[in-house]
Amino acid sequence: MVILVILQVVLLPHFSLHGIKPNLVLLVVVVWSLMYGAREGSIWALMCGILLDLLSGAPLGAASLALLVAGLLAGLRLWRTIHAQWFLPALVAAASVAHDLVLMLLLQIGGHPLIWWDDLLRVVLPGALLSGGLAVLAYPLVRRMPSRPEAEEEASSAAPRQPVLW
Amino acid sequence: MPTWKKDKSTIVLLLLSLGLAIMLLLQQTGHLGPVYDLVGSVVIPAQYAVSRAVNGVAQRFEGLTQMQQLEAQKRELEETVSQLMLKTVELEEAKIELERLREHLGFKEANPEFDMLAAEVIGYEPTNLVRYLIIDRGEDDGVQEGMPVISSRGLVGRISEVNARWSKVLLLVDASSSVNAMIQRSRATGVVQGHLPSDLTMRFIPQGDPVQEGDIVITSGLGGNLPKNLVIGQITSVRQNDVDMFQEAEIRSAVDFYRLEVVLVIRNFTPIDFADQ
Repeated sequence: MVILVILQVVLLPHFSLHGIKPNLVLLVVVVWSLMYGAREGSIWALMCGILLDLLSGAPLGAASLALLVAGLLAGLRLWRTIHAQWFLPALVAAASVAHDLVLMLLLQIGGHPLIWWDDLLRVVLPGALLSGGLAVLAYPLVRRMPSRPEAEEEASSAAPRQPVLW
Repeated sequence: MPTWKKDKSTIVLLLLSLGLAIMLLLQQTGHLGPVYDLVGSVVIPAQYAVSRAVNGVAQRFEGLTQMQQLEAQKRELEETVSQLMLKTVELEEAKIELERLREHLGFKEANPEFDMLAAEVIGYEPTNLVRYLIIDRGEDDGVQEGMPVISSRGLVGRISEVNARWSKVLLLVDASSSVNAMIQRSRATGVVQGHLPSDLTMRFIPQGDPVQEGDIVITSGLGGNLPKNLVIGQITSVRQNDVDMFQEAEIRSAVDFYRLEVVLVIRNFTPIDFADQ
């Protein structure tokens, strides 16, 4: 976890495009939530988020909360039922947009000047694309996604009942 | 020994001695050539054959030895090459470091009025929406909140948070950063504000003041937040509208904010906090 945060803070900025970099921590949180559920994902989101908050210039707690929201969204059962792992980059990009929107909201509340539409187009969307691109690397991980008890439960409840023969 | 055997060996010895004597005589008289030819015609082909065979074997052995030697040499050379490559990388790195330090030293010498502390950049802001960096100097090194941070290419930002051994620097390009500035040539004043992703805009330039592309923008020192005359950047475009009260100009900083390795903290400048007074 610490290594992940260090990579985000030290390594990824060197691959930034005009200051915009992919979010590796977010990718891991999304993949974790997708694989092991929202609860597990939330734990990762909070632990990484606290570390990021300490290193970030954003108001304390903003990174944690934004990651938590992204983790909770990625942990929705819906993704499991529609096999979202096959379009992981799109899911990560969507989670990245959600993460940044929460962060923007918190920054705005904290008095940080933002030009919403401009920042959305010039920062949030390119960042989401980069994170989505990075998600391609996580394919081998999610391809062998272990089964999740609640997903199985849901799948079994959703399955059509066999007709009873009298 | 039986007599006949003794006699036979005596005869052989005698014959050999006689032969030798004849050969000596022939050599003395210069008639030994045909004998040499005869011997040569028999011995030389055999000698040649044997010699070839022996040489072949010897060459094989030599080849094996040489191969082993070559193998060892190859290993040595490979080791030398890798060591040299490492050395080259180290030297290249040292050269870059030296150039950077020279640049900083030159800047330091050109600005003796500043007490500058070199700090290494150890991290960047993890999110895309704010622009900060982390340096390896903190309270223990005399760093205080608000101190200006510069590089040899211009203003980088200012210290926004200080810890014992590290500090956060609010970059000039962050949306919450605003710096009182002036255009070096015309002395027109304004405020340089950062906005995402990494742009700088000089706002509130009075309508009548001359502004043009290529003008250098420096800190004005107004407001007491930053020292005067620190380079901010160069104007790349001007937005001027007759109905507006002010002009605006886009600025390009010479500082690459995302490739910084070493920055300088100006320690002998304390920003004036008007709120306290």
